[in-house]
Amino acid sequence: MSLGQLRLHRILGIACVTAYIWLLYSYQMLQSGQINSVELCIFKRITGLPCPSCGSTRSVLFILQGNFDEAFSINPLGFAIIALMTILPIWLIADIVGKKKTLQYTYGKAERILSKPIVAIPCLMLLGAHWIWAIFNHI
Amino acid sequence: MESSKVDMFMMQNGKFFESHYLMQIREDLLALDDSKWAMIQTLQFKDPTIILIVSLLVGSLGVDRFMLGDTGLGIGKLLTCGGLGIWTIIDWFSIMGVTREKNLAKFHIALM
Repeated sequence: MSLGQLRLHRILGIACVTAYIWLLYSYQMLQSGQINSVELCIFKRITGLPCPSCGSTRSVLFILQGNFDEAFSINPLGFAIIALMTILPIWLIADIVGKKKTLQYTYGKAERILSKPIVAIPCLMLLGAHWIWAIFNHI
Repeated sequence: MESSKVDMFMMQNGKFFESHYLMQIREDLLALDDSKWAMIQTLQFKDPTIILIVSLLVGSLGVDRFMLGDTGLGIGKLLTCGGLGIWTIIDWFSIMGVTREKNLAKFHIALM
């Protein structure tokens, strides 16, 4: 089921702003040499195990410093997140200014493609493999 | 449709909808043609309680959203540790309402 356009724009807007604020905060913590003690992941705090996306902040920070190997070993999802964080705000603003619906259309289409078992199962298996790897390496 | 059939449907499925929509649903069903009864009766709705349990247990992985068919939001939740943990908590309180809305949307699609 697809989202309404206004809701999609609102959710993406909030997500992008929050992501940039969080990234800036983490970057400042890194610059000042402190360890980022704010651990927001509920899953990690309850079970003690990392969730599949734990470490993506560190991964993004490593990418920004140009350390791609380290970023990949912590969490490959960092690359996807940094791509989304670059593309989505521009796309969102272009859509709002130009009064177009390309973003909503693409979202609906991506959702349909990803819901197909032939795409969803390999994606989930990759994610599961990464998750097991992350648990054993204490990311 | 006969009111006895409608009442049977309401008793079976009333818990899947927001209470303020129940009267509207009842009227819609009463006005409906009898030939659609078989199809209406086979509709499967999502149980808000089950979704809430899933949300409480693995909500930070976005599983609740995937179950509701919101693949995009599910991925969003999965990639961000449940929206930095905040979205997870919001969803604990809102997911039952969202489920009921989805059920209503499904019911409306079936009526058309």
